[in-house]
Amino acid sequence: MVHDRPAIMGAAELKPGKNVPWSFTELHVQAAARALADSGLAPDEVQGLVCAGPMMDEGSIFLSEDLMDYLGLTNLRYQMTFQLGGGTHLAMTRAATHVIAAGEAETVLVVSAGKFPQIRDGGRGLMAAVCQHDFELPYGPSVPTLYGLIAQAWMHETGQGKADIAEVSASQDRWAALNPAAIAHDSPRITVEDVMSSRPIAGPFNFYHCSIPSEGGGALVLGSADRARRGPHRPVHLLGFGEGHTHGFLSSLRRPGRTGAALSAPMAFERAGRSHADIDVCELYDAFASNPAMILEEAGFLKPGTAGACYRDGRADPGGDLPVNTDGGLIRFGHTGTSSGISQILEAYWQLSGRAEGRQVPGADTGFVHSYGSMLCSHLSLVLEGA
Amino acid sequence: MTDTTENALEMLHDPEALPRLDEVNRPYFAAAARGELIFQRCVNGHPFLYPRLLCPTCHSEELAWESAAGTGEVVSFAPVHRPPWNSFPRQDPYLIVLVRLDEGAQLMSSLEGVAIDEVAIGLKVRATFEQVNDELGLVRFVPA
Repeated sequence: MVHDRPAIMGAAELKPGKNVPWSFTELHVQAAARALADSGLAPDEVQGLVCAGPMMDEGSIFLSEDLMDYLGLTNLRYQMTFQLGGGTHLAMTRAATHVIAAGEAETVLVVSAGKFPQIRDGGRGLMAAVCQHDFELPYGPSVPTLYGLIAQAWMHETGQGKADIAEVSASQDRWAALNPAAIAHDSPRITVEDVMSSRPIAGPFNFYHCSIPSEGGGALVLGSADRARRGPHRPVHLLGFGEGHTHGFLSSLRRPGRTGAALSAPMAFERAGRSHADIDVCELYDAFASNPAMILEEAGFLKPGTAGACYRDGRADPGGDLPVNTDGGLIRFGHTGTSSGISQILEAYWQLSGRAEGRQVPGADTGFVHSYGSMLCSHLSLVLEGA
Repeated sequence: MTDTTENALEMLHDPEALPRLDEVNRPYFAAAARGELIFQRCVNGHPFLYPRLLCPTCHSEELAWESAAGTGEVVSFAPVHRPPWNSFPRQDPYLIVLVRLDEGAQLMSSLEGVAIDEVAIGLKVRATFEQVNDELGLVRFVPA
């Protein structure tokens, strides 16, 4: 019975911003405390804590211990700090789900916060961390360059172009218009033409094909199905996870137009006992506008070469039959650096627990979340369901 | 401009972002410094780059260096309009490419001597070299 599986029972998300006055630890503390309050849990009722380690030098490598201490979580039976880039948060959620399913903890707090890494003066340190130091870094690739190599190959294989992926940014902007927490909520609305005429950055990406650097974070509280049913909100059960790992450095990718979503998504669907037709909302990690389009095709929602048309027809928009990135995504909600990968899980939770307010997809029960680590390396998929 | 291609290539690297020479990669960068592109092949016939202690296909540690013809094709490309850090010495847009060598090994590099709107996947390219010093050269590519 899939609704006996562990569930998300509460959550909190900080509104992304720029130059917030809080430290890395303080951002975590605020997200965690609000999520516990949302779930109706006292500090001594939390039995597990997982967090995402810093990507650069923004915080302690012993983050989970710092948070345990600051938050007074004195009854922990499980604690772990993870790092898998944007895929970290699905990996954390997966581990927490298994710990609960094994009966080793009844409740686990999953928390992450972040500041977008410095991309100008600090760019060399960032690139030294994300690419091969001796065989990639000397040529001066940027992060959008590395994503661009993959997007260019995918566009070549599927016969799509820059304008097709511009549709993604425009669609997500229409979602951001409905989400007061999105960093672009109050910005002038952007069209495909605005995306196409914005200044070029790298690869096929213009300025509006890229996500918005910001600071923020969020937290999820997971519980056993029984514990979640005693909570104040509709539980959202974690039905099935899948993973696919294609490369560690981009140089090694033999067929850059394909992604690990083709591996991870079928695993997640099979383990969940659900199919594409069951999915009411998709939340897909979108550091750049090509990624949701690629993932929809690779994960089997769309035939290769049709993502641009799907977006052009409004299917991913508010009111469409395949709603995608319903909070505005990293491109219009905001990319919070280390914690960017928790946004998709949080948004799926708001939608499937019926708490997405003005952007609520009517009757949404079942969702699909996909994220990946580093330069489209480590892919994770999740099917989850409110009940 | 009267610079030869070789002189122009000397201006491309960032002294703060050079490869760190070690016992595994030293032959590769020394070869590039003298204008030769080499790669590793294991005893079971698997060619690869970047240089490693073992073959990533079969984990054989019986490896030999082989000289490449220096020709290959563009697997993908991306122009860089904004360099990744402020002090990077290239100002005009430049091209990052993934190149598969005719021998099968694959590497990231830059493509020189072509306008950024004239590159395409499948373009045939050949290696050229930027000599940084006697021990260190960087492999770059130009259209074949």
